[in-house]
Amino acid sequence: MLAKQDVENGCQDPIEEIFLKILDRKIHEAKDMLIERFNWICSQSPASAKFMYENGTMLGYHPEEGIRSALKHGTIVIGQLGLAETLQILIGCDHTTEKGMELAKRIEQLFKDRCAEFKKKYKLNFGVYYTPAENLCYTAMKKFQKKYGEIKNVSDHEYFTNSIHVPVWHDISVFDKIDIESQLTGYSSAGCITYVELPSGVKNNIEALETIVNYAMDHDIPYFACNLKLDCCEDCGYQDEMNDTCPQCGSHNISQLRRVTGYLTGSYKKAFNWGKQKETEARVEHIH
Amino acid sequence: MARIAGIYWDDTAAAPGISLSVYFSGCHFHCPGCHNPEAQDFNYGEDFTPETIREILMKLRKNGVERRLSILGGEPLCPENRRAVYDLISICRKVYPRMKIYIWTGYTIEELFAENNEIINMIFKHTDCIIDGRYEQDKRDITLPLRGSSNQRIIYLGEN
Repeated sequence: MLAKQDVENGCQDPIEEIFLKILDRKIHEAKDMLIERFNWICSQSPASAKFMYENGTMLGYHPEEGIRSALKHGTIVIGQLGLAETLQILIGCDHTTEKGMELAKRIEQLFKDRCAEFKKKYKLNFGVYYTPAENLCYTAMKKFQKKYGEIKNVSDHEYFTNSIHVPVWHDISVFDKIDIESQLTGYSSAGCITYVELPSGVKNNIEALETIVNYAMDHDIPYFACNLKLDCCEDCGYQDEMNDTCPQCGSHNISQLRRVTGYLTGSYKKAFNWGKQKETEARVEHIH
Repeated sequence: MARIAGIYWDDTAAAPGISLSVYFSGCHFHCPGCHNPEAQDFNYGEDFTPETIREILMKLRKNGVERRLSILGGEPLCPENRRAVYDLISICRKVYPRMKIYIWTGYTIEELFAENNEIINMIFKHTDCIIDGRYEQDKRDITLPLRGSSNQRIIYLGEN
Protein backbone atom coordinates (compact mmCIF):
# COMPACT_ATOMS: atom_id res chain seq x y z
CA MET A 1 0.00 0.00 0.00
CA LEU A 2 2.98 2.30 0.67
CA ALA A 3 4.19 1.74 -2.88
CA LYS A 4 0.73 2.55 -4.18
CA GLN A 5 0.62 5.76 -2.17
CA ASP A 6 4.02 6.76 -3.57
CA VAL A 7 2.68 6.38 -7.09
CA GLU A 8 -0.45 8.34 -6.22
CA ASN A 9 1.74 11.08 -4.78
CA GLY A 10 3.49 11.48 -8.10
CA CYS A 11 6.46 9.12 -7.86
CA GLN A 12 7.56 8.29 -11.41
CA ASP A 13 9.09 4.86 -10.73
CA PRO A 14 7.09 1.76 -11.65
CA ILE A 15 5.11 0.50 -8.66
CA GLU A 16 6.91 -2.87 -8.68
CA GLU A 17 10.29 -1.18 -8.26
CA ILE A 18 9.07 1.00 -5.41
CA PHE A 19 7.59 -2.05 -3.73
CA LEU A 20 10.74 -4.14 -4.06
CA LYS A 21 12.77 -1.33 -2.49
CA ILE A 22 10.38 -1.08 0.46
CA LEU A 23 10.34 -4.87 0.78
CA ASP A 24 14.12 -4.98 0.80
CA ARG A 25 14.17 -2.49 3.65
CA LYS A 26 11.59 -4.52 5.57
CA ILE A 27 13.52 -7.75 5.06
CA HIS A 28 16.59 -6.04 6.58
CA GLU A 29 14.50 -4.79 9.49
CA ALA A 30 13.20 -8.31 10.05
CA LYS A 31 16.76 -9.61 10.02
CA ASP A 32 17.81 -7.03 12.63
CA MET A 33 14.90 -7.97 14.86
CA LEU A 34 15.63 -11.68 14.48
CA ILE A 35 19.27 -11.19 15.42
CA GLU A 36 18.35 -9.06 18.42
CA ARG A 37 15.94 -11.73 19.60
CA PHE A 38 18.45 -14.49 18.95
CA ASN A 39 21.09 -12.69 21.00
CA TRP A 40 18.60 -12.13 23.78
CA ILE A 41 17.72 -15.81 23.88
CA CYS A 42 21.42 -16.74 23.78
CA SER A 43 22.08 -14.54 26.81
CA GLN A 44 19.82 -16.71 28.97
CA SER A 45 21.40 -19.02 31.50
CA PRO A 46 21.30 -22.76 30.73
CA ALA A 47 19.45 -23.04 34.04
CA SER A 48 16.40 -21.53 32.35
CA ALA A 49 15.88 -24.85 30.57
CA LYS A 50 17.88 -27.20 32.71
CA PHE A 51 16.49 -30.43 31.34
CA MET A 52 17.37 -29.53 27.76
CA TYR A 53 20.94 -28.56 28.42
CA GLU A 54 21.89 -31.17 30.97
CA ASN A 55 20.71 -34.36 29.30
CA GLY A 56 22.43 -34.24 25.96
CA THR A 57 19.18 -33.40 24.19
CA MET A 58 20.68 -30.36 22.42
CA LEU A 59 23.17 -31.47 19.83
CA GLY A 60 26.31 -29.35 19.63
CA TYR A 61 25.95 -27.84 23.10
CA HIS A 62 29.27 -27.00 24.73
CA PRO A 63 28.70 -25.66 28.27
CA GLU A 64 31.87 -23.60 28.20
CA GLU A 65 30.62 -21.72 25.11
CA GLY A 66 27.16 -20.96 26.46
CA ILE A 67 23.83 -21.97 24.97
CA ARG A 68 24.57 -20.16 21.74
CA SER A 69 26.64 -23.21 20.75
CA ALA A 70 23.43 -25.22 20.63
CA LEU A 71 20.98 -22.59 19.42
CA LYS A 72 23.04 -21.54 16.41
CA HIS A 73 22.01 -24.81 14.74
CA GLY A 74 18.37 -23.77 14.74
CA THR A 75 16.72 -21.87 11.91
CA ILE A 76 15.98 -18.16 11.89
CA VAL A 77 13.23 -17.44 9.47
CA ILE A 78 11.44 -14.60 7.78
CA GLY A 79 7.83 -15.62 7.31
CA GLN A 80 5.80 -14.68 4.31
CA LEU A 81 2.05 -14.25 4.04
CA GLY A 82 -0.43 -12.95 1.46
CA LEU A 83 1.46 -12.97 -1.84
CA ALA A 84 -1.87 -13.08 -3.72
CA GLU A 85 -3.18 -9.92 -2.01
CA THR A 86 0.16 -8.14 -2.49
CA LEU A 87 0.07 -8.77 -6.23
CA GLN A 88 -3.54 -7.61 -6.41
CA ILE A 89 -2.59 -4.30 -4.80
CA LEU A 90 0.41 -3.80 -7.06
CA ILE A 91 -0.79 -4.96 -10.46
CA GLY A 92 -4.45 -5.94 -10.12
CA CYS A 93 -3.97 -9.67 -10.71
CA ASP A 94 -2.43 -12.57 -8.80
CA HIS A 95 0.10 -15.26 -9.73
CA THR A 96 -2.49 -17.39 -11.52
CA THR A 97 -1.73 -15.03 -14.44
CA GLU A 98 1.55 -14.82 -16.33
CA LYS A 99 2.09 -11.19 -15.37
CA GLY A 100 1.44 -11.95 -11.71
CA MET A 101 3.79 -14.94 -11.74
CA GLU A 102 6.57 -12.85 -13.24
CA LEU A 103 6.42 -10.35 -10.38
CA ALA A 104 5.90 -13.14 -7.83
CA LYS A 105 9.20 -14.68 -8.88
CA ARG A 106 11.02 -11.36 -8.49
CA ILE A 107 9.61 -10.97 -4.98
CA GLU A 108 10.56 -14.52 -3.99
CA GLN A 109 14.01 -14.15 -5.50
CA LEU A 110 14.61 -11.12 -3.30
CA PHE A 111 13.63 -13.05 -0.15
CA LYS A 112 15.82 -15.96 -1.17
CA ASP A 113 18.85 -13.84 -2.09
CA ARG A 114 18.71 -11.79 1.09
CA CYS A 115 18.36 -14.84 3.34
CA ALA A 116 21.31 -16.47 1.57
CA GLU A 117 23.39 -13.33 2.15
CA PHE A 118 22.41 -13.14 5.83
CA LYS A 119 23.25 -16.80 6.27
CA LYS A 120 26.74 -16.26 4.94
CA LYS A 121 27.34 -13.02 6.76
CA TYR A 122 26.04 -13.98 10.21
CA LYS A 123 26.74 -17.73 10.08
CA LEU A 124 23.17 -18.43 11.14
CA ASN A 125 20.52 -20.50 9.37
CA PHE A 126 18.44 -17.74 7.85
CA GLY A 127 15.60 -18.91 5.63
CA VAL A 128 12.29 -17.98 4.02
CA TYR A 129 9.28 -19.64 5.55
CA TYR A 130 5.98 -19.81 3.67
CA THR A 131 3.57 -19.45 6.53
CA PRO A 132 -0.18 -19.87 7.05
CA ALA A 133 0.19 -17.40 9.96
CA GLU A 134 -2.72 -18.96 11.84
CA ASN A 135 -3.35 -15.88 13.98
CA LEU A 136 -1.67 -13.06 12.08
CA CYS A 137 -3.60 -13.87 8.88
CA TYR A 138 -6.68 -12.56 10.71
CA THR A 139 -5.30 -9.87 13.04
CA ALA A 140 -3.21 -8.32 10.26
CA MET A 141 -6.24 -8.26 7.96
CA LYS A 142 -8.34 -6.57 10.68
CA LYS A 143 -5.69 -3.85 10.96
CA PHE A 144 -5.38 -3.52 7.20
CA GLN A 145 -9.14 -3.13 6.81
CA LYS A 146 -9.22 -0.50 9.52
CA LYS A 147 -6.50 1.50 7.81
CA TYR A 148 -7.36 1.04 4.13
CA GLY A 149 -10.97 -0.13 4.06
CA GLU A 150 -12.39 -2.78 1.77
CA ILE A 151 -10.43 -3.33 -1.44
CA LYS A 152 -11.66 -5.89 -3.94
CA ASN A 153 -9.66 -9.15 -3.95
CA VAL A 154 -7.44 -7.73 -1.19
CA SER A 155 -9.43 -6.95 1.94
CA ASP A 156 -12.94 -8.09 0.99
CA HIS A 157 -12.30 -11.26 3.00
CA GLU A 158 -11.36 -11.92 6.61
CA TYR A 159 -7.84 -13.30 6.21
CA PHE A 160 -4.63 -12.92 4.24
CA THR A 161 -4.00 -15.88 1.96
CA ASN A 162 -1.54 -18.51 3.18
CA SER A 163 2.00 -17.64 1.98
CA ILE A 164 2.28 -18.05 -1.79
CA HIS A 165 -0.89 -20.13 -2.12
CA VAL A 166 -3.43 -19.65 -4.86
CA PRO A 167 -6.40 -17.98 -3.06
CA VAL A 168 -8.70 -20.66 -1.66
CA TRP A 169 -11.78 -19.50 -3.57
CA HIS A 170 -10.12 -19.83 -7.01
CA ASP A 171 -11.90 -22.41 -9.14
CA ILE A 172 -8.78 -24.14 -10.41
CA SER A 173 -7.91 -27.77 -11.12
CA VAL A 174 -5.60 -29.83 -8.92
CA PHE A 175 -3.04 -29.97 -11.71
CA ASP A 176 -3.11 -26.26 -12.52
CA LYS A 177 -2.73 -25.42 -8.82
CA ILE A 178 0.33 -27.65 -8.55
CA ASP A 179 1.73 -26.12 -11.76
CA ILE A 180 1.47 -22.63 -10.28
CA GLU A 181 2.63 -23.23 -6.71
CA SER A 182 5.50 -25.50 -7.76
CA GLN A 183 7.05 -22.52 -9.55
CA LEU A 184 7.42 -20.74 -6.21
CA THR A 185 7.99 -23.42 -3.55
CA GLY A 186 11.64 -23.76 -4.59
CA TYR A 187 12.36 -20.25 -3.31
CA SER A 188 11.47 -21.26 0.25
CA SER A 189 14.42 -22.61 2.18
CA ALA A 190 12.75 -22.89 5.58
CA GLY A 191 9.43 -24.59 4.86
CA CYS A 192 6.27 -24.58 2.78
CA ILE A 193 3.27 -26.72 1.98
CA THR A 194 1.01 -27.14 -1.03
CA TYR A 195 -2.60 -28.08 -0.43
CA VAL A 196 -5.17 -29.55 -2.75
CA GLU A 197 -8.76 -29.85 -1.63
CA LEU A 198 -10.27 -33.18 -2.67
CA PRO A 199 -13.79 -34.61 -2.40
CA SER A 200 -14.11 -37.10 0.46
CA GLY A 201 -15.10 -39.84 -2.03
CA VAL A 202 -11.57 -39.92 -3.42
CA LYS A 203 -10.67 -42.31 -0.61
CA ASN A 204 -12.36 -44.96 -2.78
CA ASN A 205 -10.21 -44.08 -5.79
CA ILE A 206 -6.63 -44.87 -4.85
CA GLU A 207 -5.52 -44.74 -8.48
CA ALA A 208 -6.69 -41.13 -8.76
CA LEU A 209 -4.89 -40.23 -5.52
CA GLU A 210 -1.74 -41.85 -6.85
CA THR A 211 -1.97 -39.83 -10.07
CA ILE A 212 -2.33 -36.60 -8.09
CA VAL A 213 0.52 -37.37 -5.66
CA ASN A 214 2.81 -38.45 -8.49
CA TYR A 215 1.99 -35.26 -10.35
CA ALA A 216 3.01 -33.20 -7.31
CA MET A 217 6.23 -35.20 -6.87
CA ASP A 218 7.08 -34.82 -10.57
CA HIS A 219 6.76 -31.06 -10.09
CA ASP A 220 9.15 -31.04 -7.11
CA ILE A 221 6.59 -29.99 -4.55
CA PRO A 222 8.63 -30.31 -1.30
CA TYR A 223 5.65 -30.90 1.01
CA PHE A 224 2.34 -31.95 -0.46
CA ALA A 225 -0.97 -32.41 1.34
CA CYS A 226 -4.32 -33.76 0.18
CA ASN A 227 -7.14 -32.25 2.23
CA LEU A 228 -10.34 -34.21 2.70
CA LYS A 229 -13.32 -33.33 4.83
CA LEU A 230 -14.02 -35.69 7.69
CA ASP A 231 -16.98 -35.16 10.00
CA CYS A 232 -17.60 -37.25 13.08
CA CYS A 233 -20.84 -37.61 15.06
CA GLU A 234 -19.93 -36.99 18.71
CA ASP A 235 -22.93 -39.08 19.85
CA CYS A 236 -22.81 -42.28 17.79
CA GLY A 237 -19.33 -42.12 16.27
CA TYR A 238 -20.46 -42.24 12.62
CA GLN A 239 -17.82 -40.77 10.29
CA ASP A 240 -18.30 -39.27 6.83
CA GLU A 241 -18.69 -35.92 5.15
CA MET A 242 -22.00 -34.53 6.47
CA ASN A 243 -23.58 -31.18 7.06
CA ASP A 244 -24.95 -30.44 10.51
CA THR A 245 -26.96 -33.64 10.96
CA CYS A 246 -25.73 -37.18 11.46
CA PRO A 247 -27.35 -39.45 8.82
CA GLN A 248 -27.20 -42.38 11.22
CA CYS A 249 -28.64 -41.04 14.49
CA GLY A 250 -29.87 -37.52 13.61
CA SER A 251 -27.64 -35.79 16.14
CA HIS A 252 -26.44 -32.23 15.52
CA ASN A 253 -23.43 -32.76 17.75
CA ILE A 254 -20.97 -32.99 14.87
CA SER A 255 -17.22 -32.49 15.03
CA GLN A 256 -15.83 -31.23 11.74
CA LEU A 257 -12.25 -32.23 11.13
CA ARG A 258 -10.48 -30.07 8.55
CA ARG A 259 -6.83 -29.62 7.82
CA VAL A 260 -6.88 -25.84 8.13
CA THR A 261 -3.11 -25.65 8.36
CA GLY A 262 -0.38 -28.24 8.73
CA TYR A 263 -1.87 -30.22 11.59
CA LEU A 264 -5.20 -31.69 12.63
CA THR A 265 -6.79 -30.05 15.67
CA GLY A 266 -10.28 -31.41 16.13
CA SER A 267 -13.22 -29.30 15.02
CA TYR A 268 -11.96 -26.31 13.05
CA LYS A 269 -14.75 -24.19 14.54
CA LYS A 270 -13.21 -24.54 17.98
CA ALA A 271 -9.50 -24.53 17.20
CA PHE A 272 -9.17 -21.57 14.82
CA ASN A 273 -9.94 -17.88 14.80
CA TRP A 274 -12.74 -16.28 12.78
CA GLY A 275 -10.46 -15.45 9.84
CA LYS A 276 -9.21 -19.01 9.39
CA GLN A 277 -12.75 -20.37 9.82
CA LYS A 278 -13.90 -18.09 7.01
CA GLU A 279 -10.95 -19.18 4.88
CA THR A 280 -11.83 -22.83 5.44
CA GLU A 281 -15.43 -22.20 4.42
CA ALA A 282 -14.37 -20.32 1.26
CA ARG A 283 -12.25 -23.23 0.02
CA VAL A 284 -13.33 -24.91 -3.20
CA GLU A 285 -12.56 -28.48 -4.19
CA HIS A 286 -9.96 -28.74 -6.94
CA ILE A 287 -11.34 -31.90 -8.51
CA HIS A 288 -14.77 -33.55 -8.72
CA MET B 1 -28.89 -33.12 -32.16
CA ALA B 2 -27.65 -34.69 -28.97
CA ARG B 3 -27.19 -32.54 -25.91
CA ILE B 4 -24.71 -32.61 -23.04
CA ALA B 5 -26.02 -32.30 -19.48
CA GLY B 6 -22.54 -31.58 -18.16
CA ILE B 7 -18.86 -32.44 -18.27
CA TYR B 8 -16.41 -32.94 -15.41
CA TRP B 9 -12.98 -32.28 -16.89
CA ASP B 10 -11.28 -33.89 -13.90
CA ASP B 11 -13.39 -36.50 -12.17
CA THR B 12 -12.46 -38.96 -9.44
CA ALA B 13 -16.01 -40.15 -8.73
CA ALA B 14 -16.85 -42.11 -11.91
CA ALA B 15 -14.07 -44.54 -12.89
CA PRO B 16 -10.78 -45.59 -11.27
CA GLY B 17 -8.09 -42.94 -11.79
CA ILE B 18 -8.81 -39.51 -13.23
CA SER B 19 -11.65 -39.35 -15.75
CA LEU B 20 -13.03 -36.84 -18.13
CA SER B 21 -16.74 -37.54 -17.65
CA VAL B 22 -19.36 -36.60 -20.23
CA TYR B 23 -23.05 -36.72 -19.30
CA PHE B 24 -25.45 -37.01 -22.27
CA SER B 25 -28.97 -35.59 -21.85
CA GLY B 26 -32.11 -37.63 -22.30
CA CYS B 27 -33.30 -40.99 -21.00
CA HIS B 28 -36.48 -43.06 -21.51
CA PHE B 29 -36.09 -45.30 -18.45
CA HIS B 30 -36.99 -42.83 -15.67
CA CYS B 31 -35.86 -45.21 -12.92
CA PRO B 32 -37.28 -44.21 -9.51
CA GLY B 33 -34.48 -42.72 -7.40
CA CYS B 34 -32.43 -41.71 -10.49
CA HIS B 35 -29.10 -40.09 -9.60
CA ASN B 36 -29.36 -37.42 -12.33
CA PRO B 37 -33.11 -36.83 -12.89
CA GLU B 38 -32.58 -33.46 -14.60
CA ALA B 39 -30.56 -35.22 -17.30
CA GLN B 40 -33.62 -37.35 -18.27
CA ASP B 41 -34.86 -34.42 -20.36
CA PHE B 42 -33.53 -34.54 -23.92
CA ASN B 43 -33.53 -30.72 -24.04
CA TYR B 44 -31.47 -30.31 -20.88
CA GLY B 45 -27.97 -28.84 -21.11
CA GLU B 46 -26.02 -27.68 -24.13
CA ASP B 47 -25.66 -28.78 -27.75
CA PHE B 48 -23.10 -31.44 -28.51
CA THR B 49 -21.06 -29.92 -31.35
CA PRO B 50 -17.73 -30.51 -33.13
CA GLU B 51 -16.41 -27.80 -30.81
CA THR B 52 -17.38 -29.99 -27.81
CA ILE B 53 -15.40 -32.89 -29.28
CA ARG B 54 -12.42 -30.65 -29.94
CA GLU B 55 -12.40 -29.39 -26.36
CA ILE B 56 -12.72 -32.93 -24.97
CA LEU B 57 -9.83 -34.14 -27.12
CA MET B 58 -7.62 -31.35 -25.85
CA LYS B 59 -8.53 -31.71 -22.20
CA LEU B 60 -8.16 -35.51 -22.11
CA ARG B 61 -4.39 -34.95 -21.86
CA LYS B 62 -4.32 -31.53 -20.20
CA ASN B 63 -1.25 -31.02 -17.93
CA GLY B 64 0.14 -34.23 -19.47
CA VAL B 65 -2.17 -36.33 -17.27
CA GLU B 66 -3.61 -39.53 -18.77
CA ARG B 67 -7.34 -39.52 -18.19
CA ARG B 68 -10.02 -42.08 -18.91
CA LEU B 69 -13.08 -41.13 -20.88
CA SER B 70 -16.30 -41.86 -18.99
CA ILE B 71 -19.63 -41.62 -20.80
CA LEU B 72 -22.73 -41.30 -18.62
CA GLY B 73 -26.17 -39.74 -18.73
CA GLY B 74 -29.07 -39.57 -19.11
CA GLU B 75 -28.84 -42.55 -21.37
CA PRO B 76 -25.90 -42.38 -23.76
CA LEU B 77 -26.92 -45.46 -25.76
CA CYS B 78 -30.58 -44.60 -26.48
CA PRO B 79 -31.32 -44.22 -30.22
CA GLU B 80 -31.21 -40.42 -30.01
CA ASN B 81 -27.70 -40.30 -28.47
CA ARG B 82 -25.78 -43.29 -29.78
CA ARG B 83 -24.59 -41.61 -32.99
CA ALA B 84 -23.04 -38.75 -31.01
CA VAL B 85 -21.47 -41.20 -28.56
CA TYR B 86 -19.98 -43.13 -31.45
CA ASP B 87 -18.60 -39.95 -33.03
CA LEU B 88 -16.99 -38.97 -29.76
CA ILE B 89 -15.42 -42.26 -28.76
CA SER B 90 -14.24 -43.24 -32.24
CA ILE B 91 -12.28 -40.03 -32.66
CA CYS B 92 -10.92 -40.22 -29.09
CA ARG B 93 -9.82 -43.79 -29.80
CA LYS B 94 -8.11 -42.69 -32.98
CA VAL B 95 -6.18 -39.92 -31.23
CA TYR B 96 -5.42 -41.87 -28.02
CA PRO B 97 -5.36 -45.57 -28.98
CA ARG B 98 -4.57 -46.82 -25.46
CA MET B 99 -7.00 -44.66 -23.53
CA LYS B 100 -9.64 -46.46 -21.44
CA ILE B 101 -13.27 -45.75 -22.30
CA TYR B 102 -16.07 -46.53 -19.82
CA ILE B 103 -19.80 -46.30 -20.63
CA TRP B 104 -22.69 -46.35 -18.16
CA THR B 105 -26.00 -47.51 -19.71
CA GLY B 106 -29.43 -48.45 -18.40
CA TYR B 107 -29.83 -51.13 -21.07
CA THR B 108 -28.50 -54.58 -20.30
CA ILE B 109 -25.77 -55.79 -22.58
CA GLU B 110 -28.09 -58.60 -23.77
CA GLU B 111 -30.70 -56.02 -24.85
CA LEU B 112 -28.07 -54.12 -26.78
CA PHE B 113 -26.68 -57.26 -28.45
CA ALA B 114 -30.20 -58.35 -29.41
CA GLU B 115 -30.73 -55.09 -31.29
CA ASN B 116 -27.87 -56.04 -33.61
CA ASN B 117 -27.54 -52.35 -34.38
CA GLU B 118 -24.56 -51.29 -36.43
CA ILE B 119 -23.69 -48.20 -34.40
CA ILE B 120 -24.00 -50.05 -31.09
CA ASN B 121 -21.70 -52.79 -32.36
CA MET B 122 -19.15 -50.18 -33.43
CA ILE B 123 -19.41 -48.47 -30.04
CA PHE B 124 -18.65 -51.80 -28.34
CA LYS B 125 -15.58 -52.19 -30.52
CA HIS B 126 -14.06 -49.05 -29.02
CA THR B 127 -15.25 -49.49 -25.42
CA ASP B 128 -13.20 -51.02 -22.61
CA CYS B 129 -15.85 -51.30 -19.98
CA ILE B 130 -19.65 -51.16 -19.82
CA ILE B 131 -21.61 -50.73 -16.59
CA ASP B 132 -25.07 -51.96 -17.53
CA GLY B 133 -28.66 -52.24 -16.27
CA ARG B 134 -31.41 -50.00 -14.94
CA TYR B 135 -31.08 -48.51 -11.49
CA GLU B 136 -33.31 -50.58 -9.18
CA GLN B 137 -34.02 -48.71 -6.00
CA ASP B 138 -34.75 -51.79 -3.87
CA LYS B 139 -31.32 -53.13 -4.82
CA ARG B 140 -29.55 -49.89 -3.92
CA ASP B 141 -26.07 -50.45 -2.49
CA ILE B 142 -23.78 -47.44 -2.16
CA THR B 143 -20.80 -49.63 -1.28
CA LEU B 144 -20.59 -51.13 -4.80
CA PRO B 145 -17.77 -49.69 -6.89
CA LEU B 146 -18.96 -47.90 -10.06
CA ARG B 147 -22.62 -48.95 -9.57
CA GLY B 148 -25.77 -47.78 -7.83
CA SER B 149 -27.71 -51.06 -7.45
CA SER B 150 -26.65 -54.69 -7.20
CA ASN B 151 -28.39 -55.78 -10.44
CA GLN B 152 -25.97 -53.63 -12.43
CA ARG B 153 -22.82 -55.27 -13.77
CA ILE B 154 -19.28 -54.22 -14.68
CA ILE B 155 -18.45 -55.86 -18.02
CA TYR B 156 -14.98 -55.61 -19.52
CA LEU B 157 -15.03 -55.88 -23.29
CA GLY B 158 -12.53 -57.22 -25.80
CA GLU B 159 -8.85 -57.43 -25.10
CA ASN B 160 -8.41 -53.90 -23.77
